[in-house]
Amino acid sequence: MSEEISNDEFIIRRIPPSRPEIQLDYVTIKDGDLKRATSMALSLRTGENGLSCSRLRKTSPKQLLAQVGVSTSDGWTVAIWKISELPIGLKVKITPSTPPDLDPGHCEIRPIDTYTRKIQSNLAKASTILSVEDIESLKPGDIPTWPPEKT
Amino acid sequence: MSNKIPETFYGYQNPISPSVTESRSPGLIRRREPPTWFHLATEKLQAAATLQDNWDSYGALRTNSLSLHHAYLFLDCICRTVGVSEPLIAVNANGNVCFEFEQNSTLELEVLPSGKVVYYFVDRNGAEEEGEIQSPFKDVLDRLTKF
Repeated sequence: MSEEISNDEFIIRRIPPSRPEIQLDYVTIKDGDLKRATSMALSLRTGENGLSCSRLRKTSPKQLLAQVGVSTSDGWTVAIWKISELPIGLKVKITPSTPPDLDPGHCEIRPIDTYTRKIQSNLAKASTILSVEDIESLKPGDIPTWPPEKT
Repeated sequence: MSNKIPETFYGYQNPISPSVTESRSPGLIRRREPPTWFHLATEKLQAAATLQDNWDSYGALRTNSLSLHHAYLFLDCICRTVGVSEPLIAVNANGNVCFEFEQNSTLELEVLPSGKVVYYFVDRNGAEEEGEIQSPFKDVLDRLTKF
């Protein structure tokens, strides 16, 4: 029987550096000092089924960055969503990585029908960028402060 | 999908609306000086040109040079003809340059290698529109070069 994924779980995704490192806008202001990913960081390649992510229950943000040899000091960051708060039209499917131990929490955000620009835009607006402190400190299975606190 | 830009395309001003150019004195087109963010925006496009395959670590494609070319033209056009605020600029997973304008409304644009621009627009009341425009800046450039 395949493993189920709970709506109470959180999923995370690597976000490439934004300003000032390479000056492209993959992160923007959300609310107060909270930031979010932009749509450009959450697009699918032609023919791709879903957006690669990881379950915080099994993969920590720091591990997620380390999988590809990067860290927050390189300007990389991590976006997070609570599954129950994903925009309408999306689901999360567990998709083991190859090899499986590369990313034990690998999953995909998939469209129920089509990954429209509306869904992509809403997914970006629903995201939150983890603070550097959270990226460094959250362990697999931890529950982050939710909803995120703004100042 | 619509192929006509709505009047409220940017929420506050549609750069390609006839009203933008026709309101000027007959026979005289005054090109605006580029806004202060123009230089930064061109630097972003230069940065986009340096992206290599897998820049997002999930298999994204490097920046498409044709998309980049059209993005430069589009940027130059909107900078000089419309008083828009600084857009967010980045490349998507297909290697196409994208612009995102957000004030009270949201406008997201993807510049395709063909020169078409695909847009998603949400106005301040939440009304949405998706569409595709062929050569979105051609009308504006034509008007400018006829004088």
